[in-house]
Amino acid sequence: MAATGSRYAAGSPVAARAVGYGDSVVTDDLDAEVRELAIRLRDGDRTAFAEAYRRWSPLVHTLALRSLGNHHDAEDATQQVFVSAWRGRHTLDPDRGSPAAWLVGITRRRCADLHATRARHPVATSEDADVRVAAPSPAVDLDERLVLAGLVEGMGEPRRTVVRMAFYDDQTHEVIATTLGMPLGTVKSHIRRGLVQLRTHVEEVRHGAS
Amino acid sequence: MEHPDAEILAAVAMGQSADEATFAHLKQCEVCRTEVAELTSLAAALPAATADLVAPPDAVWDRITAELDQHDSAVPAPTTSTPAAAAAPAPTVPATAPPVPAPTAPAPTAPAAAEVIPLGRAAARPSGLRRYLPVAAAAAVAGLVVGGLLGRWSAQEPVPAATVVSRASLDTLDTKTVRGEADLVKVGSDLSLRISAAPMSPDTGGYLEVWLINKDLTRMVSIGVMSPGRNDQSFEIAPDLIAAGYVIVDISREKLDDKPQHSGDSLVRGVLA
Ligand SMILES: [Zn+2]
Repeated sequence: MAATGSRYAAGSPVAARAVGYGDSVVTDDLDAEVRELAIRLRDGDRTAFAEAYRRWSPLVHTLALRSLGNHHDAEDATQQVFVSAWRGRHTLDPDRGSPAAWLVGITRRRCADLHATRARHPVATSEDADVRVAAPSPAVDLDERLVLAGLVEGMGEPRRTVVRMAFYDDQTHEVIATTLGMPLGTVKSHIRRGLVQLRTHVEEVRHGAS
Repeated sequence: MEHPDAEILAAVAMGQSADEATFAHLKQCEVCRTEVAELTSLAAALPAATADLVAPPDAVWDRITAELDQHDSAVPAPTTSTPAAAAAPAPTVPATAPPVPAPTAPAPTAPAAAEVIPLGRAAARPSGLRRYLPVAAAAAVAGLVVGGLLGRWSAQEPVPAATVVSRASLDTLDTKTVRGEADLVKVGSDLSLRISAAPMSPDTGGYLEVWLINKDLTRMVSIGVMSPGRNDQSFEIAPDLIAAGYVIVDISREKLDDKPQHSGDSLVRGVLA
């Protein structure tokens, strides 16, 4: 099988198995994949860090955008969140779940810090506030739809594509199987396990917020 | 009491069949009933949860790596030389609203930073107007990222009949009005992109050109020109291109100006998915 375009890091045993398919072993590997990503990130693997950014920066950035109210600050916050994440990678506990909840936690603290800084140094922000963004709020709003969208975005492939086709595009399992050249049973398994995985990750984000 | 596997509960939550033993278990197990209820509400919430994610601009990642490389000398620079260079994250391209890659013409003096894919490597066979161009020459080359999955899957079992591998809705960039669609069609081992679109008019004296833009939004390739007056047309595609992440279909207005690069005037765009 050609490895062209593989987004998985070279040498990742999980990745090597995850691209094979045909039975539920695939999906078990994908469940393990998030954990392995967390372990590699904690252990200082820069490619794992880049992968985490690719998966969850839209969620981090959008949460920051809603909290801070303008693109400039949201981009700064996103930068600070990921720099903090890398430097504090030893605080990531792979046993506590996906890095998503951990990143959301860092995002909430960073946004709270930025709001506190603003309060101490009030400057005219109205002129650069983005009109498309609702009024900024100090607390990061863990809007359910947004968190869900961000977690779907952060799913490993091919599950992300399968879940998107099933739930966003409302495609039948048969159409997804044909389109992706994937056995029907694998498609169903991805959708079901994807749903279970999302539920777990949503809980982790909520739990981290409480 | 042993609870059914979570996957089975998810099947129940989505109204798919489950065996009698599972239903018998659910009758007497409140834990699993609650789980099914939670999964059901999650499945119901998902279709509406597509919206509103805003990926940060590429520059944010560049600033992060710059800051880490500057202050954290223990951190090795991400390698871009390995084939599976997952080091560079691809910008997330939402299926419905791809960010505009600002396909500006490369600066004539500084094309060195952008990657130009040699014709021979990416194209299975040469065809008329196929060219490989750098986009935004100053942009750091993100490397070979993501993509490829569709290509790999479709490469599994050669099917003699024509199958639609993936499809993109071709929407206008400003109002997201659907103007047509592009189907990636596979016959045997050959791939082609079939464009079916409402009539679009080029500028006077100009023409419409079809492009595939890479998911990394720094590279693009011309795959051909729409014949005047035709709204349904197929273009051969090298499977390598799709595998390498060239999955954003773009139709632009071009002038007969001998400039090979994208004019920046995109009419419609869509992501193959
Ligand atoms: Zn039970």
